[in-house]
Amino acid sequence: MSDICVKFDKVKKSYDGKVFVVKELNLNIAQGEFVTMLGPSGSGKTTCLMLLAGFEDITSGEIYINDKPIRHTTPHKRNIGMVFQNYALFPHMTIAENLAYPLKFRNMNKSEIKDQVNKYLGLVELTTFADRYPNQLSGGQKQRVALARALVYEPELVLMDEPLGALDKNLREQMQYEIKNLHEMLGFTVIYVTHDQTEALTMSDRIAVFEQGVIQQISDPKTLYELPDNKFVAEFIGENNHLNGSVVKGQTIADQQLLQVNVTEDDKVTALAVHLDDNDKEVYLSIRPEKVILNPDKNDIACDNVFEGVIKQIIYIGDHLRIYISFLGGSAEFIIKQPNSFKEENLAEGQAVTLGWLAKDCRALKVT
Amino acid sequence: MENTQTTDDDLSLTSEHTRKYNQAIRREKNKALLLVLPLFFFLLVFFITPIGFMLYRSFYNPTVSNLVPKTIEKLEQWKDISRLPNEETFKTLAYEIKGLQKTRKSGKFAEEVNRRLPQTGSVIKRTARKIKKVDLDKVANYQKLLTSIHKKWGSPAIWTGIRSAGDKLTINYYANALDYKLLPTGEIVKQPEEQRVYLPILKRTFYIAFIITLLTFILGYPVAYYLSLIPLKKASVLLIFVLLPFWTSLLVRTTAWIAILQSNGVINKTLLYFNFIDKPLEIIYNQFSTILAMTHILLPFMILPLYSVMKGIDPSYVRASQSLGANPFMSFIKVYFPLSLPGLSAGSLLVFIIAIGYYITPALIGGVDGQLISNLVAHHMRSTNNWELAAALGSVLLVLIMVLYWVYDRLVGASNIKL
Repeated sequence: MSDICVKFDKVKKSYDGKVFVVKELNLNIAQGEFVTMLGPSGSGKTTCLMLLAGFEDITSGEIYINDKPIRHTTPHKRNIGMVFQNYALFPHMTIAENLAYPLKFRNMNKSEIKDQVNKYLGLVELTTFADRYPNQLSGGQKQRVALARALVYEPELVLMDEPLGALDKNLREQMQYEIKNLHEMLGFTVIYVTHDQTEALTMSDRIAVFEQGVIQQISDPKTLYELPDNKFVAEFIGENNHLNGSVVKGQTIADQQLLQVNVTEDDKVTALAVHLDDNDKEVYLSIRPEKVILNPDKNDIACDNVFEGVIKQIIYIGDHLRIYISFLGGSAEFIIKQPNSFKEENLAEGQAVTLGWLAKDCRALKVT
Repeated sequence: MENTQTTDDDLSLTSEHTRKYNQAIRREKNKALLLVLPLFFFLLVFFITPIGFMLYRSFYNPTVSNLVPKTIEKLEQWKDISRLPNEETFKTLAYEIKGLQKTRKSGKFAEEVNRRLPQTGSVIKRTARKIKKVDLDKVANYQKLLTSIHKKWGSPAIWTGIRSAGDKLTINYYANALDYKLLPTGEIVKQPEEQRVYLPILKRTFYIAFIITLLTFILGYPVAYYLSLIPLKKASVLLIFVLLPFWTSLLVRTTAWIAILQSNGVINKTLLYFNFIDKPLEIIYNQFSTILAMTHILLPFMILPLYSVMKGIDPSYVRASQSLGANPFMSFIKVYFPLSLPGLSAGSLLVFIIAIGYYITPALIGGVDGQLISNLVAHHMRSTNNWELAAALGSVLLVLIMVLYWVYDRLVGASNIKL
């Protein structure tokens, strides 16, 4: 049996025959992987989930689950687990009945069903709630039931459509942990849709960033965050300091080559070329705030790029400070995040500072 | 501002607080009551009171007792019913009948007694006619007088009949409504087979109402389902077609059916023209046409509650069911249909209760087979002038419906009905 659980092969989806909501998607997902589809609303991620589940028709292309094409398989035969954003727990059945529901269609006798239901109730720690009705449960409890119901018949593939969207912050974090736990324990493949990047970064093996029906980048969280491939990903994931500039004339550009970029008439920045070709003269420079060093000279840190600037604003976040620094004669503004315990002379608005960064942390990306 | 320290006393609820709170609650309640008061009075005056009077008449009938009060008084003292009442009684009745004759009320008296004891009405009428010419002060033996006018005065039967008719409070009408009769002796016996009318019609009414409810469900459910799926704009337009019947008069709708179903109507003419049949089908003035027309008329009452509930069913329930392995049919049976039940309950209840009391359509196109209980009630109010029986029939219907509703509530639960 192949290692690939899900394969999207040149999948296209259009609702009206004119606009493609999903434009030629190619994606392989390995057994047991936790892949998140991340992107803004309307980017096509939920549509992909619906295509996989069978609730929308594929316009062209094919989807394989365990090497079997499923384009013409009806949803109820696909044996996929699905967790909906609004839980979709059957209100006229008890929790135990909700969990037993999928098992009734799967050749199991009454006692087997009972055992399996109890096992999964135990896994989500809701054993005492078996005879309650969904409207008697809290949001977090409902979500756990929805999860248990999608897992109780042990499907190999589980789809989750923004399952934690309706929960408050603490509950969300707790549920993220629980989902991850269950994933590790039971080993199913997960395709998870969300617009919350923190969620994606903490839970996934790989993240596919969607924009306008196209995957902009698919990598593991660390690579995605630290090495964005294009401007959209750089701006969408995490916080992003950027500068626009033009490559100094006469250079041929190879990937990962160091470039000289004019950011103003007089100032140059040394940056790393990322997926550029010779035609790109205008580039977009992206530096993560944590890679920008405040007053490097005072702390004996050598930087490829150093500039003088002025603190425009300091915002107190609690565990850290957000410091807005204006430089390059006021044409650029960078954000630095400084942990609150950092021992620095009293930083004040209006203070003159220097900031610096390494060339390898400064990614030169295509402008469009 | 300085932080003032509060003591335990300041924090506890005093009786003053409670009193003010109760006052505020009462004020709110009174305001709400004022809003409802006009409607309540309207209902009280124009609905509850008239119906109450009618129902009262179903067991309270002082007519005879008011027409011949003295006779009734005397008859109440008549103990041995195997023998005739005494001469005083004969005298009292004679004078009272003459009095009634003068005021032209003897016919009413005859009618009332006839109800209790058939074939005695003519006796009384004849007596009234004959007594007109007699000078009662000069009569020696009143018993002889009356028996000579008609021999029935000589047997106790007619006297027990009159006495029984003089009872102000009686269950006679309820007995009749259920195909029993209250004998003057006080016994309640079943009417002979050929005279049982009301129970069979009651059964037929319930049966027809049930069929109509079933038909509106079968026809209306798919329509409501379709309406709930299409986008709201389209649905609003189509809903107008569902509501259109409400904007035409009920009589117009019913007579439209006459135009379609009669022997030289649209259907028959078409079938005859194409030689599918050689003589016209009898599809009107019978049960079939009643059921057909009433189903058509009551369809919106089923579609609207169903639609409003179905609109609120989240499509993700059915999707979840399918993703869990249930095919579309099972998903419908186990998930969608139970969720649509509140609308179905409301629709069924509406259609059934309206159908049970329906008058116009069965009156116009029901023929003989298609008559319902309301038509009989109307008959007694207009033709036989037996308002008491009409009231009794009405109350029987009311009680049956309340019992039905109670059973329904136990089975389905009133909270499970959404309009």
